[in-house]
Amino acid sequence: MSLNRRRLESMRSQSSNLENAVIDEMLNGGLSRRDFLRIGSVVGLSIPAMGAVLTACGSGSTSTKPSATAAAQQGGTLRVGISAPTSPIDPVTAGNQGSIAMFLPIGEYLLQAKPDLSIEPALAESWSPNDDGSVWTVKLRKGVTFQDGSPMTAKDVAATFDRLADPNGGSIALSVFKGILNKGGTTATDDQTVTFQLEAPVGNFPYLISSDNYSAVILPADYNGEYEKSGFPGTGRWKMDSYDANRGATFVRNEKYWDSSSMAPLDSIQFSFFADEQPALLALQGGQIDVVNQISVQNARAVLDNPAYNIISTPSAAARVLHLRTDEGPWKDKRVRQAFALSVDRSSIVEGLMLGRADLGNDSPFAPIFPSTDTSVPQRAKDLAQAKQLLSDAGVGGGFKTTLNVINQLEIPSYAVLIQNGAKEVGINLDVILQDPGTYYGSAQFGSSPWLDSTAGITDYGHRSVPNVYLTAQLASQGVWNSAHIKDPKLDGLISDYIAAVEPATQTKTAGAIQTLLLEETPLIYSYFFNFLAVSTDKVVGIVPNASGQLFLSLAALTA
Amino acid sequence: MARFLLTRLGLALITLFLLSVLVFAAAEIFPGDVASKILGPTADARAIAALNTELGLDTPALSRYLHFIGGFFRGDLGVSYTYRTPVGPLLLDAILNSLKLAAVALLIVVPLAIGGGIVAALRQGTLVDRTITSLGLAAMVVPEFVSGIVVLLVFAVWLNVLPVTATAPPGSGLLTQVKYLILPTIPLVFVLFGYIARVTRAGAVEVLGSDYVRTATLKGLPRRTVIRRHVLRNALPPTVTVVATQIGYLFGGLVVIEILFNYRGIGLLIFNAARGKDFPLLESCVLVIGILYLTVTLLADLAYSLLNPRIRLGSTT
Amino acid sequence: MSAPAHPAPMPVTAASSGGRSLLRSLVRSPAVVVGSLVVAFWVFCAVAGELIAPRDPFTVEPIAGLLPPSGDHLFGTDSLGRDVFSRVLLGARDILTVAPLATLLGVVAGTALGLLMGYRRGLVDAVTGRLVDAVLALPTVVVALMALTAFGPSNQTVILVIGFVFSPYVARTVRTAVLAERELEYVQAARVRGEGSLYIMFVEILPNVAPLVLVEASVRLGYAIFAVATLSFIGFGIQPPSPDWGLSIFESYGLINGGFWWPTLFPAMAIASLVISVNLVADGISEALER
Repeated sequence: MSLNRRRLESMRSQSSNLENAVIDEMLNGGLSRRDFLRIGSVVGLSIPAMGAVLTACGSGSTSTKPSATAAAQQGGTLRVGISAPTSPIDPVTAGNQGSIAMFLPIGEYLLQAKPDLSIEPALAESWSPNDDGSVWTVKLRKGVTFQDGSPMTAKDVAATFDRLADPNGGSIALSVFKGILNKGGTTATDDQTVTFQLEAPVGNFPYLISSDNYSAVILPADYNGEYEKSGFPGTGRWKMDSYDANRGATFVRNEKYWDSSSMAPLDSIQFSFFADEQPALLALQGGQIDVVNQISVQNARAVLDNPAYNIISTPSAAARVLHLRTDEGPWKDKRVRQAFALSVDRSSIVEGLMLGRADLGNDSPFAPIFPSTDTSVPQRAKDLAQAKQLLSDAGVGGGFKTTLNVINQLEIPSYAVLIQNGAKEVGINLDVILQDPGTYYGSAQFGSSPWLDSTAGITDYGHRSVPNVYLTAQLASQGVWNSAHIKDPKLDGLISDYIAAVEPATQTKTAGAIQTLLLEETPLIYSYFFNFLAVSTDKVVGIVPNASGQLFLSLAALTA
Repeated sequence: MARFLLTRLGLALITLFLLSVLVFAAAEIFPGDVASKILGPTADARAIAALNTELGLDTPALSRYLHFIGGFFRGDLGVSYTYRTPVGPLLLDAILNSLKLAAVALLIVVPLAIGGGIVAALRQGTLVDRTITSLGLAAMVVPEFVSGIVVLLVFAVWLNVLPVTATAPPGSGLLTQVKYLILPTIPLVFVLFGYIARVTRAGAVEVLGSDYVRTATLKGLPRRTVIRRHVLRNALPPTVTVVATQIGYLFGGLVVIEILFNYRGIGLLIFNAARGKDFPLLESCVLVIGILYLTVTLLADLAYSLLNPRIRLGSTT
Repeated sequence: MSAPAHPAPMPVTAASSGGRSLLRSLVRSPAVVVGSLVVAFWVFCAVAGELIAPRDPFTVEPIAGLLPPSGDHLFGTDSLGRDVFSRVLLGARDILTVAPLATLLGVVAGTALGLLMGYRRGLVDAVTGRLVDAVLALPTVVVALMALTAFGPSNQTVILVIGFVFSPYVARTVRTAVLAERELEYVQAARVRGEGSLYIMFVEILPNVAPLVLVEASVRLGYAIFAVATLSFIGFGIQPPSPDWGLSIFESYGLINGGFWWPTLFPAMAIASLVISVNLVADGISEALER
């Protein structure tokens, strides 16, 4: 024990304040082993260092389960069904599932985010923050080359992030980097070192340069925005062989991959484009493809219990968020909002609608997968008696009728029906108005968008690796997605505290305060956070999913 | 004849103009903003503004319309907002696919339905008649996505004798392509059979009840000759009209089939263009379908006058 | 070419005096009787389905989703655990208002247009014909999205869209028939008598093209039901949680390949039974009229 302590002390002297804060938190018993690994990896603690800490706590080794590639054979072709790209392929501007999937086998990230939100080095060798988390320094791996043979240097990395943060470049990552990283904030200190100078301290910054921010694949410094015409550049294990925007694409193994010890096992990967999940699933069942990139639980039902198929299920922070206008209309009184939230039967929604492939929501964006989420905040559950009491206290015990705008996508209409049924039990009669996405989002500006203007509505929000953007956009007074129109100075204060908080203990404490306040105010109803699902035949191994719904197929293989 | 064709051409131009204005109005009133549809509603406002400028959407709507029409007549269909590639090749690929599917479907359904309709008429009121008309109706009301999924399950998944997708591998021969198109054709046959058969049957029933058919039969003409010479000729004109009016459906309305069978036809292209407010693409698609439609109806009218010489061409204008 | 002589115009005798004999001949046809009974059953369900439905068709029980047919649930349950049998019984309500009204709108408007175009010919035909062509060439998706934007999703919008899309089809079919009809002696005779155009169109010609219109109407009714279901596919049609048959089929068809056939099959059979019955009755009426 004393030996371990001594090793720890020497380690501490070499670590930043932030790293030490994480180590202390672990030693004081404030973190579970899983959370420590997740948070430690974010602040750049190395695997041996985390191992030392865990040993000191008697928590055992850090070795993770070896990937099940043992039975895999070399060679072969993997056939994947993906949703058809609806925009040109360009990592900087692509935001749809199909276009993103096209550059994932080709490109690589500085860091790779695992499905459990821990982070592993990829093109970066190490990364560390300064004391307050406002400057992050990333050391790059040596010997990395692009597919044309030219070396990848810090210049390419700096150019990549400048491009993503350029306000005039149409970058899809602008909303991710807003208020965090500006153009010019990334500098190449030397060939192997990149420094990120942030607008404000951000403890979770590594997620934004990891695979969790799918736009952040490293592109050559001279990239001109024409990804397809410049030959699909990247550093990855796969090269584009042929691409037909109407049918699909074929990738072949990059024989000159910079890490010859970790070449792709397959010979080629074939993508077929599908306009809908149903035909993709039928193609899987008919033996024409091996993997369906993404599928809803409703459609996956056809193969859910079939042992011939593997369901790859990844928890995420993506949710169907129900907003209630707090400034006017029938939901102005917070007791009415609370009553509505109490009428929702969350557990039966998770089990019945999502077939267990979802996490319970507690009316805040703090999903269970976030390490900072305060799990001691009590979970809201269905309570009709209390709901009725609240309604009668608010003077609407006799019930009332109002409308609920709902975006017409995937399982959301069914979710709305379940919500409607629950509300009816306490006398709230909801008139559901289903709207196609175009109508629902409208111009996406206040005053001309049912999404932002309706008294109540259900919106589809994607996964984010950190809850920051949901707090600032959905819940802060000036938020651009504040469809609940909540303006609460106390909440605004807590949100800025949370974002500035770098130490895990402070993050969790502030998160807890926000979660409690949101339960009281109930501007938003988060009933569940769904899992992203992909399906493969039982012959496919080595697929790594991430929480934003992407599949990493670089090391996929087929079994005999 | 020449005068007739010229008049039709002039009228066709008017129809196309009306159509283009309708679509322009539609694309203008469709909800949402082009760039925000492409980048997603949660994209940063600066990125949306940048993309709108890049696409030229900051110019007045009317000037965009005139610019497009000017280009259309010169054979330049513009550039799609969503795919950011020239509309021409996109459209050509889709229209060829749709033509193939429609051709296979019509080749199967038209003889089948005319035969069915005439048989039903000849056995009017019998079980055969009732079965043909009722089955035709029952098949007609089953939505394409249901019949489509059932045939896919049976023939592509369980029996595994036909492919799941309708798109044949590049460079396939005609026979292979037809093989890939068999499954998606079945729901179309379901949808169209009942309608065409009923129209044929109604026409044939009317003729059969007429004095001259009775006279012809009494005269001892063989039944087959009576059917060919009198019944078919009189039952065909309305059938031809009905088939012609289905062209719009066969080209623009097959969204469901194209999605289900993963087939890149023009229905899906229009659907996506309408949802994406992709004006150059939507306008081009609709105008091309309009031209196709007008051509086919013209041919139908010509065929009509051949089948029924009492209608002079001049009178149909 | 040997043009066959055209049949003599049928005398129209189905007025008041023949009413009773018409009814008698209808009752004698088993097809008409069966058809009427089935239609009557669905109308009863639409009006008072609650009386016979064993369960509330709207009550969800997500945990008990997709139970196969059993004594408890005759037709099983759908994915949200609602009783399919009760939903099928109540599902007649929306379709029995939307589909006939849409058909009526399309057939009435289309017939009027067709009569006008076919009888007046010339400029009227040319102008109206171009509009009709433009609408026929316009993909339904575009019409539907336009209406959706302008009026929002509701049953009325569905009726308007389907009626609007159907009318040109009817118009073209009717026009073709009228073109032939107007050359016949009885029309010439009426003109010689000095009857007005409206009188000739609606009193003289209409009864003679009525069988055709009736066929169109019965086919259109089938397509209307089909169109309502297809509109759901593109995200607009009758709105949930209605137990409407077309909507139920749309909500459940994706489950067929998982072996869950019951939430799709039973509503589909209900639709088929309704459409076939309506047609049996329509056929019976037109046969009786011709007799």
